[in-house]
Amino acid sequence: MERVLIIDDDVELCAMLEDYLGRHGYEVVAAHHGEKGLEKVQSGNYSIVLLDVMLPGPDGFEVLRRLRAFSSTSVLLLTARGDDVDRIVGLEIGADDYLPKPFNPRELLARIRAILRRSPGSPQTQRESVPALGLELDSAARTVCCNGAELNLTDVEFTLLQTLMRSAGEVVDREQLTTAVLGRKFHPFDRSLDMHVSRLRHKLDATGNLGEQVKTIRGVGYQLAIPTRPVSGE
Amino acid sequence: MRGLFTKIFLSFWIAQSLTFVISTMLILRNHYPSFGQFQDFQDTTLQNEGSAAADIYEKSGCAGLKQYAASLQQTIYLADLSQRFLCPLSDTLLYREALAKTFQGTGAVSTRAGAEYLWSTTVRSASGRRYLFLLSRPFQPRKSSALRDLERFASPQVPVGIVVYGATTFFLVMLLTRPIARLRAAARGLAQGKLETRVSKPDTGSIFGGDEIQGLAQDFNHMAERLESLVAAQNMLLRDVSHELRSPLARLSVALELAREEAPERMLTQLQRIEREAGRLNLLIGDLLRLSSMEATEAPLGTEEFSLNTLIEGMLADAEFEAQQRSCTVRLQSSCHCIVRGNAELVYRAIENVVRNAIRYTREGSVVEIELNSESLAGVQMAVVAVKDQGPGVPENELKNIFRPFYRIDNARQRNTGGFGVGLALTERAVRLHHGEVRAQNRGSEGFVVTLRIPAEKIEVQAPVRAV
Repeated sequence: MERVLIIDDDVELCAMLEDYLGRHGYEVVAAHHGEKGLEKVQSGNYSIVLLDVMLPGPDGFEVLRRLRAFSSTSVLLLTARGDDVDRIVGLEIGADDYLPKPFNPRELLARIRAILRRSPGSPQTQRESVPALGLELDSAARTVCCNGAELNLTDVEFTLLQTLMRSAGEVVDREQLTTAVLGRKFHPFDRSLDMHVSRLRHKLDATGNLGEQVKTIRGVGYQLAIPTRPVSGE
Repeated sequence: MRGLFTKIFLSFWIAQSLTFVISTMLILRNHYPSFGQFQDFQDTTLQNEGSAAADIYEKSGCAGLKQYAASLQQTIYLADLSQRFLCPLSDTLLYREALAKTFQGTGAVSTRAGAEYLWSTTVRSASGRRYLFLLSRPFQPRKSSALRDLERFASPQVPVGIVVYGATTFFLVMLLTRPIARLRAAARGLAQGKLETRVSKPDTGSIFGGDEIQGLAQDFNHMAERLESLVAAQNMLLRDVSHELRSPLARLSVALELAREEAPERMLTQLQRIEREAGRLNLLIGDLLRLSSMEATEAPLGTEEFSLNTLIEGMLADAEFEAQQRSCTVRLQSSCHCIVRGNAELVYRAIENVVRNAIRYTREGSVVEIELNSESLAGVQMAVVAVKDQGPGVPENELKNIFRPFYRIDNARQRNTGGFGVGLALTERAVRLHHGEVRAQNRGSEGFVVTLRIPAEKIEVQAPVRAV
């Protein structure tokens, strides 16, 4: 059972979400203060954190910043509706996605599912790889290895890389990527995808010097380029 | 301000100069010998000279008289009472008339004879005999005396005075109009919505500190402060209320979803309705918060370059879909390629709101036209987006009000056509943040048009392309 941590000071809302998400197969734990939430992330094993931006004490951004220092757990940021700065800042700090609050709970469920992207009943190991880049992916364990070294990716980054690897060498357009990775319609001013790509590049660079292989095709989308000769200097 | 300055300056200067000139003239008149005084003086001199001439004539005859005339350096004549000239020096025929007048009259007589001017009088010698005395001078036509006097007596001080008056008046009027100009600029700033505008205070330590105009400036600043705090309080209230509404609304949405999952079939319609209304409330709060955060900023967030054409083409699909619900169509016609710098999302929303509005109000089955053109306004290249609908339009006197949040023209309008009236306010604010302007106009019976003008970074004119 997937464990969801909600960090929100609205006690009643948390209770109702526990009920709602519980019905859909998630185990929900609530924290009403940022510090407590951080403690819980450290101690427990959560698949995803729902983090409200407007928190007493350290606000959502501060909590996210500190959380990212030690964990790559997926974070869905609940931003203030009408405040466009929030979601940009949130994505920059490292949120996987954002949802303006108040939200429709079905939308929340869809986002959580899109981020986690785990089919409940497919335990058998599936391996995908791009040998030219030394990339190997285990879709059941959701791990990626680059020339044997494991990459520490978030769920969204994993899905992104998986999608790009499946059509390696081809251009995947932004609409397609957004649907596949974030599970929602592409919006022309949505920078989420670009943020995730940029973070993935950094991680690929840090482990295998592969950041350059994720190419931006201006106005179209992204491409995982396959070099004609193997990449050197891993 | 030039108007007031010129008016006060000129009228003060002219009034002061006139006063000076007139008083100079009055002084001249009073302090200068009047005509009577002058004549008295002349009469006495004439009498004395005449008596002396008569005495000399009686004593030493014509030779003495000649000598006396030479000593006076004047031409004099003496005649007896029978009007006969004694020792005539030249042709005296000319003087006969003067002589006759003198004989008949009592005092001194002055006449003109040819090129000469004559003064004549009856004199009595020491022996008691009476003579007629005549003094002649070449005639010199004199200029109008008042003007000549003025010229002579006022020549240094009047022009100097006028110049000094001009300088002091200039200074005085500057003192008066400069603060008014500042006040006016501040009032204009305030009217343009820059509520933080204040009248700058000149050094209060100066001798001119604390006068009425500065009092006015201070009162103006007080007024502006009060206005600013009131508007800020209003905006804050709106923002706070919207913020506070979000938590209950978030709970409401979740509770609704929980209810929906358990509800029997027959309740679903009602629950759907509640959900729809909650969604509307949600959107409204979002718009309100966006509006208040936009009101708080001066510069648009982000300064990317983007193509208006691509932007509008990007919203066409959604607009078409929405229009189809009312069996309408949306048409884009662009005559140029416009690149604009700013926040693409804000501009997108601004245009989208106008297009949505047009689709909402246009006649069923009609066409909403979006036109993208360019124009040059005072040397600035402007991208012009005109959104035309075939709706009923807006009463002429309400045209400016439709950009005010929550403004509704017709209370009878249904919720499903009326919206909440924040969209156009958002549009107006977004365009203003890009230093552009929005204008709404009626097109007679044809419908309604909203025009957005945004300064463009680059414009390439091209042949009209029609995209559907």
